[in-house]
Amino acid sequence: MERRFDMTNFEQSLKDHADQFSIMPSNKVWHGIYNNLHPGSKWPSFAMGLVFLFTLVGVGHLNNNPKQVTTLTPETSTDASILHLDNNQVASKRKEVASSKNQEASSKDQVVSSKKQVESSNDQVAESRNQLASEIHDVSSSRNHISGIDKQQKESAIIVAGNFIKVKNLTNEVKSANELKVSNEAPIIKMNQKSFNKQIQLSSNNLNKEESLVEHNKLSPGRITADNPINLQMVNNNEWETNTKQPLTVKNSLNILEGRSLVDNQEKLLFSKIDSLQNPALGIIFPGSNEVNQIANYEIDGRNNLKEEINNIEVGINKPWLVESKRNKKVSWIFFITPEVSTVHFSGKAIQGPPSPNFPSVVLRPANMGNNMIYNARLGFETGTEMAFNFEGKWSVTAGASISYSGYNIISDPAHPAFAHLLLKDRSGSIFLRDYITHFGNGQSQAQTTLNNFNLQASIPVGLQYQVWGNKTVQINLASTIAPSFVINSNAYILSSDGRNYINDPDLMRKINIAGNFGSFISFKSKNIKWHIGPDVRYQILSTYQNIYPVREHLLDYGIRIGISK
Amino acid sequence: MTEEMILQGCLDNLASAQEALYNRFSPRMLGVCYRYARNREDAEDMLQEGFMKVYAQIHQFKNSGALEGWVRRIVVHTCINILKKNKKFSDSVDLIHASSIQINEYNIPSILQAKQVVECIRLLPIGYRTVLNLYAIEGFSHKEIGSILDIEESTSRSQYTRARGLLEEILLKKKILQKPRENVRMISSTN
Repeated sequence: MERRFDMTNFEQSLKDHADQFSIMPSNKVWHGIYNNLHPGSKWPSFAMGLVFLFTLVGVGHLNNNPKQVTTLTPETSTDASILHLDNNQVASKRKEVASSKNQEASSKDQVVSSKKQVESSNDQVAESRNQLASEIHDVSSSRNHISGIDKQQKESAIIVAGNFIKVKNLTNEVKSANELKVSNEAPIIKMNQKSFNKQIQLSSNNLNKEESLVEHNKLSPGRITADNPINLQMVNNNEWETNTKQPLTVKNSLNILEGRSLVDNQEKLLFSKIDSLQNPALGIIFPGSNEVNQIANYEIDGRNNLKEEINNIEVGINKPWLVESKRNKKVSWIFFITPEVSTVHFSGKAIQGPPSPNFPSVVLRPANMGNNMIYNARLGFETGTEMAFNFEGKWSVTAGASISYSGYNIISDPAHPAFAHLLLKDRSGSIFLRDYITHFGNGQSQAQTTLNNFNLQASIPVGLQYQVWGNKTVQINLASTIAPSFVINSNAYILSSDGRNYINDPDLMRKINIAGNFGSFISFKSKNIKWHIGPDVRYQILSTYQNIYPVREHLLDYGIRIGISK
Repeated sequence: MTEEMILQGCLDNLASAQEALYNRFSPRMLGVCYRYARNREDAEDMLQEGFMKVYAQIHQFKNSGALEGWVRRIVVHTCINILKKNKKFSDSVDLIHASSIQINEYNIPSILQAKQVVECIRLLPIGYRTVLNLYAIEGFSHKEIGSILDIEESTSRSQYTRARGLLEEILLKKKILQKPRENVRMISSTN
């Protein structure tokens, strides 16, 4: 029962009333006090920040560290031959290659020995190639170039299936310049082992002949003639000089046969005259037309033909200057965006105050606050990146970082500024009052205005992914994540205890939350990009508000997740 | 947690005890600060500084009186010290006149009576309000108020008289206070 204000004892009555008054301070007051009293206790957040930072760095390192699949030495690659070609000294002869595997082994040794010899003669090459002013990075022949190759040349084209040619350091000083590195790379060249072996004949004796393998003739772009020896000159010498460190991948050699152009537009390079490479000492293959066809139709591992493999090569050809590298196939890095429709789900019971401010006593009656609100869904989004690590069969674990924006619109109406109050419950369960001034009605009048309730959160989703069905090109997956999130910015209007007004109290907002995602998606490959598209549902597990506000608000988002990966 | 345990924990610099002390007294102390401050944010700043002093001086507390009273005195002095740092406050103690106050129905809150009374007090000019708070609510004498606020004792008396008159006017307008008929008995509301 309210105490009456007694005029006879004004001071005492005033004191009694004033002493009854109490306000619940916001959390930041205690946090400020606590941080001042215990400054050293900030280490947990600092440690968590460090853990998060190292996790990100670790994930990035795992994903981006290329795995070298070709060490490019005959000792480590059973079906590889590595050649370092020197343009001026390497000459080729075309001979029939023995087909037996024993011969293959011996040919590898020969390749190694010839490689050493070629390298030893680099000095002589440098003298004879003083005129070269540029350096070759990434040489491949374009279709136009290929079109200029007559049939005979094409037959004698270098088949370096799955190999790469590395040409570098062709400068004026060229000490080890004009290095053409050819090797077999298992995943690509597996295909042609037999025919490859048949065509290869290596003879170290050929080196002694010191034939001029590479002539200095300039080769006009788009034109390779049988009369021209290998000429690794560039059309634009300046470009040579500016691209001195980019080796030539001779995966492109396959594309020569296929008439493919892998020439980077910015790096117009001239490739060689093929006949001049017809030196078995180089380990370069010179098949005839039959061999060309065999190569073209060869199936690798019984699954993919050469054309498909070449396409795969092209996928990774964006950085042809890199020595052949391969990503960790168990790890994929996905960038995604999810346009969403955001809505909200309420739970819990509100503590409602007296319907009339003139009614002094606090009457508590439960009500479903959510039902009294008039609100509409709105658009939101979630975007971020995610790493998926395949740890067992069809199961993958995912981790990443994302930002989400979600919320809903409240239908309100402008009202005269009025006092509104909210009944809250503290940790001990006792109810206390918090007062506000607001000019937003509950939306019951005709004049309406929209209030935006939103949450902008940064999350660290961690979860599991299961491949339900799929083949190499198309997969269907189920994915579920749980995402601790930090609320970057938020705005929320809630209904006052008497249900008449909307009020806004940032102190009520929760700063840390948890959301759960569940969805399925289909993955398919299109050209160089792998797409991941499918429905996704996001549910905010903890309430938007702190526990002192008894109504629980859970944001609910439905969307279509669109992701891309390599 | 008993008061003794809280005290001992605070002396040992235990966070749990400090939080318990804060949870026990902070709502009422914020109500005190709110009567002195211009707005809620200022009141919370006062509360934070006041509790920092409480924790720093907890070893000076002797069990001769109530802990709440001791905390309250520290908080009140903290509020006064913060107000005194503001030059406008010093000027307002002497210069504000009651006639400059515009009271209308719209200014007066209509929630609960304790809240109403406090809000009515907050409608007073800060100089009046401070003297009223110190004299009528905190129980300081005019001499003590003069010492605290660095004003003359007579000034404190006159300020209080004016403050009380103005507050009565506000309470009457809000109908929290009714003019006495035969028996002086003001009823703010009925159940």
